[in-house]
Amino acid sequence: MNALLQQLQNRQLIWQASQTEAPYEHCQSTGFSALDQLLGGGWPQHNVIELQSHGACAELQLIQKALAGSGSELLQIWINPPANLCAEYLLQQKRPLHQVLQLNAPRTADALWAAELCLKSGSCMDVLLWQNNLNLTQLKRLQLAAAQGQSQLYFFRPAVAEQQLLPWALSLQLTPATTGLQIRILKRKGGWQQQELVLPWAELYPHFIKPELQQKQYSKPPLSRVS
Amino acid sequence: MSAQMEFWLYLYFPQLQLDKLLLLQNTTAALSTQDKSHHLDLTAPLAIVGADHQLLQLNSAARQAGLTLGMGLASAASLCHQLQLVPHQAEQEQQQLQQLAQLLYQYCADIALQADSGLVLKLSPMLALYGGAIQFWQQIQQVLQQAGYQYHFATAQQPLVARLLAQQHWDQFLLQSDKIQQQLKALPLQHAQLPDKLQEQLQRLGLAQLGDVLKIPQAELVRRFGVEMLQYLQQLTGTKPALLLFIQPAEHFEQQLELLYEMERSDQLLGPLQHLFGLLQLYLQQRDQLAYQLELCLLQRQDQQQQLQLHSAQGEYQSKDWLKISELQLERLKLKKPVIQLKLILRRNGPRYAQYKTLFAGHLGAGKAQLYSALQLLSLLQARLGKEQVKSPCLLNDLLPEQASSYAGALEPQAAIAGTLAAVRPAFLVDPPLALDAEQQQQLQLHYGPERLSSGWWQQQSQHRDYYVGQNAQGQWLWLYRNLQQPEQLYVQGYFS
Repeated sequence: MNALLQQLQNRQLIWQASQTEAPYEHCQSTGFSALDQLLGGGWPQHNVIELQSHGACAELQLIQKALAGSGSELLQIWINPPANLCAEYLLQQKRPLHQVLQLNAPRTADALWAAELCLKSGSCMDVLLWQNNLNLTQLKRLQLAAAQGQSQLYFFRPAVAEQQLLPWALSLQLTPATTGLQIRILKRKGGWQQQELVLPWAELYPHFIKPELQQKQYSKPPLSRVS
Repeated sequence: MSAQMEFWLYLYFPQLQLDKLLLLQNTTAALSTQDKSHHLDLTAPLAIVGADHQLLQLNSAARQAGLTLGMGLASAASLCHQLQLVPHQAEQEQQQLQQLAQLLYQYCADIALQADSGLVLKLSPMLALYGGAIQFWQQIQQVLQQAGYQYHFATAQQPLVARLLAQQHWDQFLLQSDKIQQQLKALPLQHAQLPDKLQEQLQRLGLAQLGDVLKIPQAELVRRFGVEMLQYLQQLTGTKPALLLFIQPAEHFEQQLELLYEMERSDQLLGPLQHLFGLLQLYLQQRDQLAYQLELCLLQRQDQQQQLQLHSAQGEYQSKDWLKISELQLERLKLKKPVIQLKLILRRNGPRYAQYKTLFAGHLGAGKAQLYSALQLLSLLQARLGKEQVKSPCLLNDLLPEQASSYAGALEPQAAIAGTLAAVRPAFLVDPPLALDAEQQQQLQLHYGPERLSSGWWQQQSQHRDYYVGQNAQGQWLWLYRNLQQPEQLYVQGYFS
């Protein structure tokens, strides 16, 4: 090898494409093999993950396997969810209700403060935060807190037109399509961008979409059955 | 030393009020740099004045200006015209004395308060416990040093003797009675605290020292000077035991703190608060208890006051934990008027028990360092966001989804409800249900249903609903229902997410 190159490499000034193999230290499987493949193993752990969507399009279903894997000894925190939580849903996910906390923080500063405190407390595993905006310093603080408390933050926000460049470990854009959920990677640490995947609805909602049922869609409830 | 011999230690605090001012200034020094004009300057001459216009306590600058204790106001003012005067507050001093006694109670069982800023401690039963007088004295000295008040002391076999010597600033910790007696005999009569009439009579007889009086046979003295003399001599020689009321540890915690100057911002209050929480910590530690609820009163000008309730779900005793909780609450608080006094009351406490931590918490929790436990975290969140903003979902025994899902107090264990769980439930519920207009209903695509839910006939408005899962024009997954009484109208009950 060239002596100059060797010298540069010794000082770790050269980035090699082979270094992209393992972008995250730890991954947790998403439960969807196609998505695992797209993400290079699964969700990065102890970090902040952004999920952009208009809501009500299986965004919780995506992370549901990861949430279930967190065990039930530690708290799960929902900060400013878009609507009331359904207790029956949480019980379906085998989550003890008294281990779930919902926080309503009308002020952004309070919500971020609460998220950071929960992340680094060490007594929470997953924090779910709904918010519109985040800047670089706030993201860095949340990432450090997540690493310190070995916890995970899922950051939900509406899809925005212009992309602000933030160093997310992973940022996904979710758009509903006719056949399934279109998942686009906006940012992935140590990975290639611009990859897409359509996850069929039947995989996301297996409990009420059966593949054979998908053929006969109707737009109105059959009135004849009402007596 | 024989076991029968009693020994007493007298602690005399000559300037409690002044020392308190100095201590307070030290704790709040960091916060008060910008508005010096509001409060007393303790480096300039300052005196505490009694009700009869005599100087009772002086700081060092005042002493350098030539002022002495007991001087009248007029002569003091002529010597030093910029002298700052503070009225003497006997009640406050008594409170401080009480606090000191509570502090010392941890080390000595028998402590009695004395009217003239003094404490009497019974030494003899304690010596066996500490394995020697010197060890015991070192312990006491350490406490006094931490408290930061000036003090004088003396030991003797009778409380009165110890008191006379301590007020003369003898400052000797001795257990040899001959040396003490020698010192006592040399005591000038005017410092012997005899009733004024007796002292005058004795001095007219040409007696100058207490020793001269003690040489005269007791019976002769009593015959000439009466019962008063007898009582005095009995106390001095210890033939009759002293009447002392020993203190008991306080039943409940209530402390107040006069601020040095008016505080207008809530963050300034943290310095003085730390002092109060320190006292609380001591109180709780001595009783091995935890505090769950505190009440903090902020007394303001014009007799107004604001109250704060501080809660801790887990129970804390350490001052730093309570400071953190109060800091969060004070941030939200808007002071109506400047604060002049703080008062801290312990409302709910309980015994301290060992807090168990799991050593091996499964595969995930293993090695996870906890900064706060779940209950500590809850207390902090409630302190900043408000108690009603932090809650846990709960399931009620009802068929209608909007009635079944509700909220309970955070982290409270809930009763399980028997029965099988429904298969299809969305993550979020819309409350109240949203009616869809005709156009929106047209664009819907239904994927699953119906699932019929009927509420009980015994209820006020019995309802029969058919539930469907559908997707709207934006591709969002909705949980819809229609009422059987009104089958054309669809409502959105929840969102699948």
